[in-house]
Amino acid sequence: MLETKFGRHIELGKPVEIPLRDINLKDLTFLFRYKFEIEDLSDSIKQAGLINPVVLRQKEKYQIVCGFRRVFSYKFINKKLIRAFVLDKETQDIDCVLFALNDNYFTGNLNDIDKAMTLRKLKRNFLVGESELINIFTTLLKMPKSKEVIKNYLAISEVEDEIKEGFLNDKLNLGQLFILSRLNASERIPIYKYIILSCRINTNELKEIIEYLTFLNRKFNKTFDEILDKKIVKNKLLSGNFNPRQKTIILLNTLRDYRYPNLTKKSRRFFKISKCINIGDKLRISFPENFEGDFVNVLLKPTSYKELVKLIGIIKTKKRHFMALFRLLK
Amino acid sequence: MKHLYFKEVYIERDIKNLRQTDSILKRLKPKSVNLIRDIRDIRLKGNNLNTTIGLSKKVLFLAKQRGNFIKKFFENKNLINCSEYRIDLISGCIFDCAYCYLQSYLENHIISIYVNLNNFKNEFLRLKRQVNLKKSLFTTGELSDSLALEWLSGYTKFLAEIFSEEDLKLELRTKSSETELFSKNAFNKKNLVVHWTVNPDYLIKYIEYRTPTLRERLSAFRKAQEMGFKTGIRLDPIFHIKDWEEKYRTLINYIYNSIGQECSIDYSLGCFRYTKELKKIIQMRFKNIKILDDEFIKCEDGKFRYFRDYD
Repeated sequence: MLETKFGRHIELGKPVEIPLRDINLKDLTFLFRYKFEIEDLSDSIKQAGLINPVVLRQKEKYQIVCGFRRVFSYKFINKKLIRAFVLDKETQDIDCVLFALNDNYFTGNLNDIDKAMTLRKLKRNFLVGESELINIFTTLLKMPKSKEVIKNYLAISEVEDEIKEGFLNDKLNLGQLFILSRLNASERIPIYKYIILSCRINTNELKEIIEYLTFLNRKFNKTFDEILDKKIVKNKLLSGNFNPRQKTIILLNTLRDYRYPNLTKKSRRFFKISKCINIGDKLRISFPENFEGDFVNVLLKPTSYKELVKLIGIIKTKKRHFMALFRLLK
Repeated sequence: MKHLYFKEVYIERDIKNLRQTDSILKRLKPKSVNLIRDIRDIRLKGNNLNTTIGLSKKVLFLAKQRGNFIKKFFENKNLINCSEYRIDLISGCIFDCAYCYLQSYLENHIISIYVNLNNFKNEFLRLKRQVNLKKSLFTTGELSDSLALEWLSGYTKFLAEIFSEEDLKLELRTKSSETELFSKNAFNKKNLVVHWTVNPDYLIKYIEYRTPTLRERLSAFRKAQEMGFKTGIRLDPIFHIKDWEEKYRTLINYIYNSIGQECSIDYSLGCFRYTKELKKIIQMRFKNIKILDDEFIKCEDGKFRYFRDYD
């Protein structure tokens, strides 16, 4: 007897030996993993044998409910028979789903892509409604009970395999994957290809870049691919002379230039003049945010009164440059 | 304006017997009315925000104002001892300007005429007792167009009479071509200032949906001037469009040619600005318009404005 987490009782009977050739290995109805590896498990089975029997459902050929990795490992090491609990052919699909997910809940850890694919399968293949997804399946998938979370995971289930693989290989984090999943394919693929893979970028920077690209796309009616490919990637990112972090900075600055051409131009002019003032670390000059104001921020860092007087004296000698800064802010 | 008749009318039970309700219904002559308990329970639901707002333009609610009718809306630092108040007798607008802040400001997107005018009078008298209003400026053009529904509500006339008695200033802000009010002589015209908001004609067609044309607005302007009303032109919002200087110069020339070179006109100006919430709505509702595709920067108050220093 096996009790599912939600109180369904299903009679399992005693495990029996089932020939592998009688199992339909092509039927992946109850597989809730994006990908799985069998080599480690095969080694373990060779040494210790099968500890937990798999669960199959009777059909014309047996259908795997729990234990895909175990069955495929058995096949890999050319075993002929496998110990299995066999469910009656009348057992409902949804009971098999609960079985399989319970098995995963207690025995294995699903990664975020597995969870996303599971939610998609539940919704599409088993027609599970939103409230059931939230109330029942989030617990089995060890996820927060939230509509928003479900929505995010369903979105990542739709991203291209290339990007899913990238996530599994730590090329991008979950936050970045969520951001990409909100874009359409023609937008996210160039971002992944040109930016995620070649730069070292944090989530906020990625958001900023997408905001710039979205703006440029609307304004100039060019695709992300065209914007990145023509102007930036060929000229700057693929030149190969920069490390991934430097590439990120170059990319951000270049896109910012396109997004805010006048602001950037003015900032550059400001920095050019303030550079001429150059009094070292003891004096810092900056402009008000976005030039919204007609003042210059001047920070003096004297360690003594004498030094303060000296700094003020130097400032007096830089009158021409300060006047130029104030003119810029008018 | 008469093409903008409402398809549905909802009335709160509490106010169905008020004189003002009756008077509005007589003018509107709806085929049927629906009684509701409380306007705050109502949420119009289209398939998306665009259809919801579209739907809202066809539905009229007659309701009771439960909050204050009069709100002090900001301290103008340039005016000494002078406060500005807004009067909300109507909320929501029959026009559908792409840039309108009401899209994000009004949560339920509905057009409501508040009919409990006795409460307004009491509130007004209370305020008058508490504050010296002589140097204050009142406006009705914040949550709705001041004149667009005048044919139905008669509220501007109602206010003009009160303000005339009290010798207080009321500013109307409108894009309407309604002129009925200007032929009335029941109040002192000096207390009323009417400002028409205008933009180049092609912008009106492009982003000020369901509004009268520039010509119609200026015709109403002329009528008001002829009848001795104080008038003004609001160039707000001004858009940084291609060749904007030329286009706005042409607009101003057109205004002068239309209303007579000899007239002096008060202009008030303001550039287009938006909040984050409004941006989302504009992008969702008006995918093909380009008013957001410019160099906007976030200012201290959280609103986005054009970068000041264009080359």
